[in-house]
Amino acid sequence: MRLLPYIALAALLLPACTSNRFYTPNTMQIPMLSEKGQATVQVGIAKNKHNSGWEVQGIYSPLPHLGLMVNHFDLHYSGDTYSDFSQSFYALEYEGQTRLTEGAVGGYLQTGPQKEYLISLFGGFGKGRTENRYLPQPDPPGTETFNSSWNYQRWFIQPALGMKYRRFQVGTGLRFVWVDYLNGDINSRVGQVETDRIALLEQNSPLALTEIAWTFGWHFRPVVISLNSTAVVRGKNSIRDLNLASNFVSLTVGLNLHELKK
Amino acid sequence: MKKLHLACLFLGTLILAAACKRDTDFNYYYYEPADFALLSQYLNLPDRPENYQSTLPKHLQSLGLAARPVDYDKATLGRVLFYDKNLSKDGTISCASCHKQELAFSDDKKVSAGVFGLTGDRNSIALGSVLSFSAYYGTDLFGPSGVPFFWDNRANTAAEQNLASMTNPNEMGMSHTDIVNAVQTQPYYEPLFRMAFGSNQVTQARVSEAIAEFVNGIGSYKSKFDSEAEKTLGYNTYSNLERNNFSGFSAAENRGKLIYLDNCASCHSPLQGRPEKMKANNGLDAATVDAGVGGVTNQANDMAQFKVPTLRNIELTGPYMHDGRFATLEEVVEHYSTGIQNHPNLSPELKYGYQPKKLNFSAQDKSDLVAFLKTLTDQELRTDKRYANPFK
Repeated sequence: MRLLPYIALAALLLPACTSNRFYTPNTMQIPMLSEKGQATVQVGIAKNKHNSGWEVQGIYSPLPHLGLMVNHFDLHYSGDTYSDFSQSFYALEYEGQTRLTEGAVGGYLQTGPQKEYLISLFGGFGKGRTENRYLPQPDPPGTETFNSSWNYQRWFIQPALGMKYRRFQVGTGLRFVWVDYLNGDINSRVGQVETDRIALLEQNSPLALTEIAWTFGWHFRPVVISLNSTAVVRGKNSIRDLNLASNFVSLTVGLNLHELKK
Repeated sequence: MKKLHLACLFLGTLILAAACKRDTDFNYYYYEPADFALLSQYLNLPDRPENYQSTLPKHLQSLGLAARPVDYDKATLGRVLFYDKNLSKDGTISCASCHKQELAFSDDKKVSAGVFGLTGDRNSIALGSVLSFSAYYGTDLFGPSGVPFFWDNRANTAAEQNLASMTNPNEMGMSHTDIVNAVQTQPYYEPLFRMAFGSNQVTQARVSEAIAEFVNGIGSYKSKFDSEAEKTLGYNTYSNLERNNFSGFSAAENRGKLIYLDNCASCHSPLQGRPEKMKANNGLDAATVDAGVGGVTNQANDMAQFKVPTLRNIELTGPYMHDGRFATLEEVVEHYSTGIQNHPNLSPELKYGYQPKKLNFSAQDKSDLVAFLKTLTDQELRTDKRYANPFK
C-alpha cells in the first residue's frame, strides 16, 4: 500500500513526457554502486498519448570504484507541427522512432556519515538513429509520406549523487551531452519550414546540451521500482529554436543481481 | 586511487573528442532518386521545383494587384505540359508553339499554325503582355475586375482557356480522352502527377489545372518602365507622379510617356496594371468583320469589340491586333494617328462627337511614343529558365 502514492505520482507524471523528432533524452541512469561486484539490470517503459518507449539499462562494478554502464533506448513517438509550401502553411503530422545504444565507464565513491552518499562520475559514448515519417497532407489528398532520417552519436559526462537507504533510494545528476548528427536523408517535400528546422539541427551539430535528472526508487530486495525524470536544460537560443523535447519520464523496474546471490 | 585517475583521464579524453566539431552530412532531396533519374532521362528539371511566386513591385501592389499563390509542383508539371507536343493531335504543336518565350510568349505570325497545317483565326495573345498572369486574369478569384481570356473574353479561368485551345480543331485538335491518353503514355508524367496531386491519376481537369498553374506563375514586371516607376512612385500611385520625368528615361522616352498617358492610358492602363476597359472597338474597320465579344454575347453593342490588353512587352509581340494586321509598332501608332474607322461600336475614347478621332501625331510624337513603348520590354522574361522548355 505504501507504494501506491508513488504509482499515483508516476501516473501523473508520465503524460508529461514530451517527444521530439529531433532529440529526446533517454533516462539518465544514476549509479547506486557502492562496492565491487555489484550489478543492476533495469527495464523501463514510457507510455502516453504520443510516446511509447522502452529501455534496458545495466551497470556493473568489476573493480572497486570502477563502474561500467550500458543503456539502450527505443522510443516510438508521434506528434504534429506545421510547415509550408508555396507560401501556404499546413499542419504536419509525424510519427517516428529513435534508438540509442551507449556504453560508459566511470568511477564511484561511497561517502557520508553513514556511507549513504554515492558520488559518481561517468563518461560514455553511443550511437543512435532517428527515423521520422511525415503523414500525407489532406490537401491535396495523397498517399505519399515524406521521410527524414539520420544517424547520430552521443558523448556524455555525468556527475551524479545517489542516496541509498534501506527501503528508498534517491538520486540526482547532471548529464553534459554532445549530440553529433552524422549523416541523414531528408525529403525536403516536408516543406521549407520543417526543412529549415532540420538545417538548423545540422548547423548546430554537435548540440551541447545539459540534462538534469532525478530518480526515486522503492527497494524490495532484490527489486527496485523507480520513477525517473530526465530534462533537457536548453542552452543557446539557436538550440532553443529547435524546440527539443524538454522532459522524459519513465518507470523502471530494476533487479540488483548482487542481491540475488545473497 | 590510481584507477580513479585513469577514469578521469578517460573522461578528459572524451571531452576533447566531443569538442571536435565534425561536419554533418545531411542529404536534402526533393524527388526520390529513382523519380529524378527517370525525369532526367527526358527533362532538364532542377532537383526541386522552381519558385513561381510573383512578388510585384510597389507601384503595382499599390494598385491592389497581388499574385495568387502558386503551387510549385503543379507549376512544374504545367511547364512540362505546356511544352509537350504530345498534347496535339499530330504531335507537332504544343502551347509553346504559339506562345514563344523569347517573344514574351506570343507568336510572330499573324495567325498561328495549328495541327495538320491548319491555322487559327486570331493572333496569339502574348502571355507576357500582362504583369502577372495570376494577378491579372481570371474572374474566378477577382470577379468582375479580373480579366477574362481570349480576344473575345469567352473564358473565365486559365484552365478553361487552355482546355479550349487544346480541344480547338484548328489549334491542338485533341479530345478530352486524347489528352488523358497522351499524358498517360509518357513515363515522365507519373512522378510529376504524384508530386503535384498526391496520386498519379491523370485527368483532363488535372492537366488543365497544372497548365493554368504554370501560366499563373508567369510574371513580367521587370521592364525599364517598372524599375523607373517603382523608383519614382513607390507606393504613391495616386498623385499622378507618373507624369513626372523618370530619371532613367531618355528625353524621347519621357516625351513618349506623356503621349501615352494622354492618348492611350485611358484604355490600356497608366501603369500597366490592369486595363481600364475589358473590351473595346478601336476602329480597325468601319463594319464588323470579326464579331469578337459580340460573337459570344450576341449583343449588337458588343460586335467587333475585343479584349484590351496591357502593353507589356509590346515590342516583342507583333504582329498586332486580334488579326495580326499590323506588322510593326509604327503601323499601330499610325492607325491611331490617322486610321481610326467609324465603327458603330467605336470606343468613345476614340471619338470626337460622332466622328473618329484623328490623333494626328507628328513624326516626333510617333517616334517618341514607340521609344516609350519599348521601355515596357522585360528582357528577363525572355530568358528566365523557370519558364524555358524543359525537354531535352
